[in-house]
Amino acid sequence: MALVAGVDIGNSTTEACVAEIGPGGRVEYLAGALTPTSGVKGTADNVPGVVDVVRRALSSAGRRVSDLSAVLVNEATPVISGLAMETITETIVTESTMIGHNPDTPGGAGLGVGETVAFGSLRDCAPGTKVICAVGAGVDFEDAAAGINAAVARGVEVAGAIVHADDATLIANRLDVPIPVVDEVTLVEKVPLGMPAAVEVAEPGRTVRTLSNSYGIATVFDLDAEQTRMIAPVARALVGNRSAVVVRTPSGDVTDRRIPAGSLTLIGEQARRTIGIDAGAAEIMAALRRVRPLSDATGEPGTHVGGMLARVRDTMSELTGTAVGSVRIQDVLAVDTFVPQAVTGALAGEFALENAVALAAMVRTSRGPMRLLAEELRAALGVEVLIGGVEADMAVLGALTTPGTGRPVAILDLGGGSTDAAVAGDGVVRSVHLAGAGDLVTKLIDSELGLDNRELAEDIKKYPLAKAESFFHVRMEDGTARFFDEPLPAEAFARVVVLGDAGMRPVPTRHNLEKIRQVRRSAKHKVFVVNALRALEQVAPGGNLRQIGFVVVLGGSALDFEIPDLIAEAVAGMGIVCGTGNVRGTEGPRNAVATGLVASHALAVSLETAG
Amino acid sequence: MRGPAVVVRCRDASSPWLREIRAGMEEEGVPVLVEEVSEGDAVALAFAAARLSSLDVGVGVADSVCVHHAKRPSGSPVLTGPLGRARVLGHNAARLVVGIPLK
Repeated sequence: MALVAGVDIGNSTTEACVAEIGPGGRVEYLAGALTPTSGVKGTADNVPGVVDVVRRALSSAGRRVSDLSAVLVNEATPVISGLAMETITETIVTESTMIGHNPDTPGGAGLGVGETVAFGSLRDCAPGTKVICAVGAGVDFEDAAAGINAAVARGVEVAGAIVHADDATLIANRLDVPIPVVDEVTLVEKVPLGMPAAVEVAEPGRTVRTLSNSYGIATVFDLDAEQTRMIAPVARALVGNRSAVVVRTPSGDVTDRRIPAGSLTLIGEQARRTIGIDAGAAEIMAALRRVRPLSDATGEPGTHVGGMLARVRDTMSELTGTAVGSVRIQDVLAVDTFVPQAVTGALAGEFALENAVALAAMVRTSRGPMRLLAEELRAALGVEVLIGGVEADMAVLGALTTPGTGRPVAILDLGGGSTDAAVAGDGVVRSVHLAGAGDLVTKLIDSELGLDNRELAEDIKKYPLAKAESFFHVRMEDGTARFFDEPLPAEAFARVVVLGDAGMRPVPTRHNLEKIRQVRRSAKHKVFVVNALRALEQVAPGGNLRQIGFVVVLGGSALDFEIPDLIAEAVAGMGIVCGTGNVRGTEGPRNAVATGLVASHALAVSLETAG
Repeated sequence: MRGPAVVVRCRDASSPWLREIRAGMEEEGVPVLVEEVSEGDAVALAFAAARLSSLDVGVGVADSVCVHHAKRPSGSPVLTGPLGRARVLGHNAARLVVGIPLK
């Protein structure tokens, strides 16, 4: 009987599996353990993590380090991924402006059109003129209402008002003639005066109809076709708002331009293609398919893409001690996304969702530093250390211990930085490592929701959403209610919250639950479903997914509450059995490589004794 | 019989801060009912007011302003703040009724 420990050093966790190998290669698995990886995968910095995880697995099996006959370590080739995002459109407003506003409490309702005039100058307006009144900071609501009423009594047609403070309803309630009033416009003093303007407020529960429609704005300001084309981005930016203001100057010029976002050169073994980032993700991925297999990729210097690829290369060369020039980008994944950007030239700090492309790139290197790692580990534990087989082969062997699986089996290992796949057909294992995984999903959620908070984006990715409906209960995203004994904090009241392991976390945005859920699911789809299909297509016999009987989903992201389902749904049409792995029937989607190392070692031992 | 309203209990019905609290609630479209009582601090006034309110929300005005909910423990109000924040606290008392996030 020999006691061995299989150890898998991953990008984020290090896992161990302790087993007894009997005569004839019979394996008895005793215990498993998991710990965060110390240092970057595949370097000597991993040693403390490995020592810790081996000790923990041994202690839960009731054994000591001195009982061990060997430690089997995976061939941990470090995979480094980098992410970059480039905006490819920009809305510019010149000599004209818009104020898109969506506070909870505009006043009045309807559409008012007139010339902008400051509240202080209202008394100078001649009877019969149509005006939009701009009420700046410091004007009390009773005074504002009295001033507007006095002007209307003199015959001035006040068609609408723009207010600095949060008191639109208070003013509207005190007017003799109802008009739409937009409030919480912090930069009201920047509204150009003496210009044609339109104010629109929708009834509660509705959104603006005229100013969010290009032809509506054209009708209001009597624009020709060319001018309407220019104003179209303004209309688009106002869609979904309950209130809006558009101020127009005679030589108005609003443009929506495409930004040259740099280009990416994909170098394949046979062909090479250069493609502009602004062509979008679909074009970039199509170009990648045409040059596959990729041997390297470069970005135009001075752009985000160029910078990111250079950064990935530098980090890798530093880690492995190889020259920067010999580090190769092995895969890229491009994804279309949106980024909230300040509208250039707008007066009130408006934001518009601009198109962007996110790019994940991946580098893989040689097994150089592994020998050093093995030596240090041998010294630390005082046990023989063997570097096991190729990671993908081991993962397949481990995955096959999942009850109910059979050959041909494919594994999908969904990690933080990369998505790996392997297929075991007739004795040969084919594998791929692809760029794009959990980290990219987090980044997409962060930017599309405009959170600017990676930690919160990570929580939104991992946990279900709920809405705090009272101080004592929340409504989960699936409609079920959950109650609490302690009253919920005031900042969570009526907000969308993430229900994490550590408790409840309010999401401080205006987005409703459905919108956040949709962004979360679409980010997972764009990365994991796309990558799953891309990966399986590359490893399936003859590129035919129908040749794969079983798909076992492994890795940290396989523990996600919806990613495995999204993938299963995507491959269901191809007659594939797909599900989350349950290694050795006990470990879930974890420990596959560690288990595979033990299984493979046992096989080698039995062959030796037989021979 | 009273209609639906947030109840405000104060020590001095002529306090200028009451106008601000009323304004905050009017902006949110929630009815309000003011009562003058002789003693109690803001938290105690607010809790008693919340118990009286058919909407379960009460505001207490003394040296400070307190917003309370009838279903919460008496010593654990939703919010308290200085008199200078009376308008915002009025908004928030109304928002508890309307069910939108506090400001």
